[in-house]
Amino acid sequence: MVTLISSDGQTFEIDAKVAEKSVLIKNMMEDIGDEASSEIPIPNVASNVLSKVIEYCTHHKDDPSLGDEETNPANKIKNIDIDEWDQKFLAVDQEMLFEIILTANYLDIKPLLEAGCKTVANMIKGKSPEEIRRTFNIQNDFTPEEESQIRRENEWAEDR
Amino acid sequence: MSVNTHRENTVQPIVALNASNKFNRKNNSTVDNSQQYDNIHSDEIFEEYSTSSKGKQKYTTEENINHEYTAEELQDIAVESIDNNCSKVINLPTEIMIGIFSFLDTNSLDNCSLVCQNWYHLLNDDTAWRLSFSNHFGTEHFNRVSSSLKWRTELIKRQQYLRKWRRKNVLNVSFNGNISFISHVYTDFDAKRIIAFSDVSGLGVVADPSKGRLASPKIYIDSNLRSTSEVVVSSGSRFGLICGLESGRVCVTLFSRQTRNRDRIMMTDYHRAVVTAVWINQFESSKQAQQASVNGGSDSSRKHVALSADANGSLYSWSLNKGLIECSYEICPGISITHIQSDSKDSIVVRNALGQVFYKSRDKEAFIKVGEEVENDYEHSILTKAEFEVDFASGFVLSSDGFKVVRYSIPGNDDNSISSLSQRKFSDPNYHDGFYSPVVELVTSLDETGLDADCVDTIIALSIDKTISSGGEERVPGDYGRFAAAATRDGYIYIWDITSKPKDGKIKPTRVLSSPFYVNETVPSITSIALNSLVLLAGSYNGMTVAYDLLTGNQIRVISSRFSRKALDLSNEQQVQEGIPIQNFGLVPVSYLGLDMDPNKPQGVIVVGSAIQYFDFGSYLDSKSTDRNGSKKKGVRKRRMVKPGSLNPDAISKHEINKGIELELERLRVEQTEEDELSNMLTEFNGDGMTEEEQIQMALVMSESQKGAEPVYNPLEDKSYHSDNEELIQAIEASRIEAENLNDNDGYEDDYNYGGSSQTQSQSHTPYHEDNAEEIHENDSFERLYNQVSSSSLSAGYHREQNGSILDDYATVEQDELSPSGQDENYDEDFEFALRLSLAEAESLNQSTA
Repeated sequence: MVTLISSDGQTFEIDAKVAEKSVLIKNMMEDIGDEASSEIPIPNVASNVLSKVIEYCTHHKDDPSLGDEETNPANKIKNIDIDEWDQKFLAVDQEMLFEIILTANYLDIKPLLEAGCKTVANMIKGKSPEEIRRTFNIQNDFTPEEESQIRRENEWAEDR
Repeated sequence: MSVNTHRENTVQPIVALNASNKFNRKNNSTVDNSQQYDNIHSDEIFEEYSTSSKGKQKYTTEENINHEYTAEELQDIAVESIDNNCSKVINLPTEIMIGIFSFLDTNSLDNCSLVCQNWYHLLNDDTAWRLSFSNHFGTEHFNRVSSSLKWRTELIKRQQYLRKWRRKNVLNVSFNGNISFISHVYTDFDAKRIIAFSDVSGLGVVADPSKGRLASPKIYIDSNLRSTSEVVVSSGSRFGLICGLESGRVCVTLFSRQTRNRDRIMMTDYHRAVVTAVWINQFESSKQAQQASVNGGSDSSRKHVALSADANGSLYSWSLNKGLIECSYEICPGISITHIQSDSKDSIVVRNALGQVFYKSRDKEAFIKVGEEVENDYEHSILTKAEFEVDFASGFVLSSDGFKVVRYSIPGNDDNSISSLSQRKFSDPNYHDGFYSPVVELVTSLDETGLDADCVDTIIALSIDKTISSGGEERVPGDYGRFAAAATRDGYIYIWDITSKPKDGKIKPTRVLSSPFYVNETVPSITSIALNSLVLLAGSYNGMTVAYDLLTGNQIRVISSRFSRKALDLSNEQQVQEGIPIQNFGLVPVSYLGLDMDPNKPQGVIVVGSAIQYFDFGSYLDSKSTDRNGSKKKGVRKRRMVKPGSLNPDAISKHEINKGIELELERLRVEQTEEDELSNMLTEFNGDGMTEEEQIQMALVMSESQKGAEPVYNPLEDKSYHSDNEELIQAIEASRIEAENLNDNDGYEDDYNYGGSSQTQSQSHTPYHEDNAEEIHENDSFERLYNQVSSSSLSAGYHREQNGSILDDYATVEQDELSPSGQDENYDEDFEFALRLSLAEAESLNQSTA
């Protein structure tokens, strides 16, 4: 068993198998050694996000770890399709989604990071620049001249 | 909170940068993890994040953590976040943003670059595009299709070019080469010219594939014999054809731009043994090369024009204008040379029957053996079909003895003909050490552990991407990757990046495709392959060709149209179920595949037996525009179009007119032959000396006379008769009137009718004639009428048999009454004639019965 401590002091007691989904925690556990119950502080992850990430790891604890990608090049083609459970799991508000992505990145949980990125990519897909700005509440900091310039740049490569 | 957010937004770029550095651990596994906690910087960032997470908790309550949002709710949240003016997407570190972008398609990426300055700069750096490419195609090592150094362009172009391959309604021309089994086709797609050559017959043709037109005369090797089986080996280019003959002679045919002008040169010198390998300049017009070889006195500027090698291991370079040996090399005495390749600038690579590879660079005088000694079983080397490919651009030689593919590297030289790639690679000490480079085996096995000699299947075909790519020392998309593919007997196609670094002397395939037409091991399902930097074509035993995306291995389409898919499926299922080998079905394999090396030009040639199929997926749109301008190609293109639905009304009417004329001609021809046959038959039965009209009339009269008073079918009532032979109509009319006259005149009835015994006889004939009448009624074709007439004449013959004496009487009547009566003659004469005839008949009958 491993105890994780979130930034706001909450403790989560989880199975080592679940914790090992995170490459960071796995490495730390190896560093600490065979201590019966080790406490690992996760100082930059709040309890609500951490509990969500643990939920993900618990669900995927039996998944085979991604092998050496070089041995099987067919794995390299990445599909934008997301696992159904993951899709539902990530159907959260943007704040939470980005926190999960950041945590997955920090804790080095590749499949979760990938699923998170795909979810954001799906939010961008098929939208006009203005729609994307509205979705993510981004200020348009282009001058109209700059905008038309970029449009021209983009079109240049597409014709012919 | 709003203040807090505002502060964050302004600080954001620095934070994001730091965060990306600190959070990026995945590529840096050696870093001590505890470092994270000691780092003051990261603590600062953590503080930043904890502030943000505090703010967030205002509306991200515990409740909705496990709450599953619907699309509407998400929309509401998006709106809410707009209201709060605090989106966190721009807080994400660069690396994560690029990760997100890498899952997007090209259009979305272009839209993203228009969202804000930050995103624009992220996307202007090519990393996101490179990752997107990698996610799409699964590799970052390939041969570029664009000349651009940007991944964005490469990705867009590659997808664009691939789309062309999926087009429907494209130019697809099939025609017969009219020479037996074509062994090679050499294509010049720019000039729309292909040269097909058959080793079996020693004949070749030059054709315009887009029109399916063969240029005459055929190419033949021996001026005396139009066809010769003497050709052992041939090779060619779009400029010329070289053939090695059994007698040791070498014959070269050169082509000029005008297809009719050809120079056939039989070399004066000859080999002392069977010619086993030939090569002709692929890269420039033979005329030019010849000129160069004539003018170029110095050895350094000399170019090879034609090379040939024999079973004794000697190689000759030929001077075309004299037909003499220019220089000769003894490479491997006593062992026959199987393959020759040259870059035309005096770099020559040869392979012999033992699988040994020899190389000669332009600055060296002699050939040097390349690679380590390979174990070889001479017997099996000779028995199997060797495959040999050289890519001078990358400096790699692929050689297959039929059981495995081996990569050799030829040493780079200072010549520019070998691109900077090879220089770069060869200067890399880890890569190769000169001539005696380690032999690298290309793995043809699905088994990761390696290959077991017994389980490796025979290699049927080997092909290499020969698209010429040029570039500087800069790192370019694809990193000068280069693909080669081989098909094995068990129905798999292995694709390797031959420039990739070998592991334990082996290169694993990047993709393994399985043939959709695999039946069983006795049938090599793939018989031919071709590839360029974009696609791979695989031809099957059944004449079908499948196009694959080279990088992803996805099937793009089936190209061949020689056999319909339906027929194929049926044959496949039936054959497999019944366990009959497919060969019995009589399918013809694809013997040659030609592919335009320009990835932007989706065109190629497929050879199935003696049939040549040319396809051009790029010219559809072009042809449409030229058709509007009344292009000459219009008719041909339209008729060859795959879908007849795309025909325009103009073309249809033209087509129909043409078809109508054809039908009319055919009808006339049939009519003519039938008329001839008819007259022959009538002559046979009735003797010479009568005009056809008379013969017909006579026959009709004879048949009608037997009917007696029975009503006769009036063919004139049937209007459709008008389209038929006028003479016959008149003849029939004549007989009708005669019959009527006879019916009206009772006095003649006794004379007309046969006696008691003959009455029954005539009755037995009656249904026969009725049948005929019905047939005429149903069918107005000439053929039916002809049948009627001929049956009438047959019945006349029948009477002749029955009553031998009638012949004489008949002949008498014939002679007596013979008059050149035209069709306008009055019927009295005919009537009299008929009367006399029937009288004679009745008389003879009476005599015989008496």
